[in-house]
Amino acid sequence: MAKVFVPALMRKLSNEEPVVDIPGKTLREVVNNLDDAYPGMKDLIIENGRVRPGLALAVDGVMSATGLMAKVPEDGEVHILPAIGGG
Amino acid sequence: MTRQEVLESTGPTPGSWVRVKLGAKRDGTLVAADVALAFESGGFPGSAFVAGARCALGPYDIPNMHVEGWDVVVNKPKVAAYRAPGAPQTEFGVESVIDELAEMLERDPMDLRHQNRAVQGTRLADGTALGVIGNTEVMDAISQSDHYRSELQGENRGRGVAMGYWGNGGMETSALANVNADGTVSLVVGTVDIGGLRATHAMQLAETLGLPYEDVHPKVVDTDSVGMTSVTGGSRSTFAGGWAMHEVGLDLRRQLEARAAQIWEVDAFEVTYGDDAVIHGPADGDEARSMTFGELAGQLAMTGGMIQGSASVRPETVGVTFAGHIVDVEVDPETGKVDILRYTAVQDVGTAIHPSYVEGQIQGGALQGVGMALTEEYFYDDDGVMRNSSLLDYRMPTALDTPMIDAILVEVPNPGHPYGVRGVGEVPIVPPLAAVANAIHDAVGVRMAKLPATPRAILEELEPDA
Repeated sequence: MAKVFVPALMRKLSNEEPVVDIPGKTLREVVNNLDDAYPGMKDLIIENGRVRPGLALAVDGVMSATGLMAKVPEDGEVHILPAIGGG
Repeated sequence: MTRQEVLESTGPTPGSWVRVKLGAKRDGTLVAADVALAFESGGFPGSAFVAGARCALGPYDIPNMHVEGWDVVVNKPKVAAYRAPGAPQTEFGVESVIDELAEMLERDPMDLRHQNRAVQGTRLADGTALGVIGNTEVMDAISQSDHYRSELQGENRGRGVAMGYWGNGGMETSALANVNADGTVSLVVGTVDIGGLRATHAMQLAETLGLPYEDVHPKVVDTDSVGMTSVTGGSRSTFAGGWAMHEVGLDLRRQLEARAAQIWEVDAFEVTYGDDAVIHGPADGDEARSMTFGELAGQLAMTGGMIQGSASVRPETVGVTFAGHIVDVEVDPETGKVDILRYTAVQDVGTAIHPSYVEGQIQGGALQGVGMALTEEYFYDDDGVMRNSSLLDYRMPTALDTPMIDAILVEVPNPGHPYGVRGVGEVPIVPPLAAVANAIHDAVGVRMAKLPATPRAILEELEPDA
């Protein structure tokens, strides 16, 4: 099971749980299963089949460069983060 | 654009408000942090408040953290990304409070920082865990430096230190490399060179191929001429470029092995490209078979044509960076003017591919940060019009405003890069604001809660009733 770290602004949907255990071998599976467990999550993360602009998903601290296709290891950590630009 | 148009319309870093509360035990252990920040974003949302929030507490391991950021739309011109966008402002707040805490607890400011330092596995405020980092090594290098261990004498003189954290970026880089008949390599990259990238790219490709650096000739082209390449920014270019050079080099090595196999009429798996740029094949009877890179390059045209390697990469394994600066200042209590007497910048640079260019990045970033600390400020009138839109009135520091900025390069290689590269360009702008402000406090006892610490601002603090 992956550990999904739920950002503060989304915790109303996770019953205020900051970390939830969700199955899934890819980010797409994890997001779909997260939405099954806590309905409404997917709409906050995905837009037109892709991660929303302004958001980033990280697996074990590494920002996914392959979007929802990124592999999630067993017991991996998934973070939902605001995207950051450099200067 | 004219200089006036540049200053009025292209956007500065956001004007910012930051509140920091830290909780610590009597022994100095940080137990809680509460940071609130509000960034101006001009007429439309989109300031760098997210990065500011993420970086604010980066150098420290604090079990309980709450960071709240606000993007505030105001009737002013736009803001823009400016070197480590968001981090200098928020870390100024945190590093100032750390300094206050050290004073309250009568602790050496670096000793207190070291006690609470973030290490591998420490979680940032956003919950992600840090990988292999050089934070401890940077703090140790500061504490052991000649500058920090030296005695500062004289009236109205003071010393300040501050740490800084920045996350760095990856993004896309594309490159092509052509092997020439004379044994040189023509390298084509899409990354605009604003700080020595042609050299660092050429060095990393030369390393992959085992060639002298002088034999790799880099050129920068637009993305009509090479694959997608992202901006030169986000401290990403030498990192992602190095990955591209490594991949291009491996592609060339594979192709050269195949061509040597064709020439020797053996199977490609029997041929090996060595790190010394000598290609070895199976023995021909009692005679060992080998060719140098140059010898093979000279045969390419007649054995099937020249060889080109290519790569388009988007590496994810970014190495984050930490920096710490030491600054000595002298404050003139009559005029409020601050003179910088000595400046040392310490930074984890991963592997310094080209050390003097890395030092240049550090010195440039530090000087920009000194500008934010002491002089640079946009003045708007009541109608929201900028009133100092020339470089006569907008006071940027120059090399004449600081002594030589000594750079100490701490090398903790990024395990997520073939040559250990971490981006180095942005983090050096992060510590100067607090380091200078802390030095001013040490010199004349006033705590600058607002920057820049112009002579007028300092006099207002020294003589609030005047």
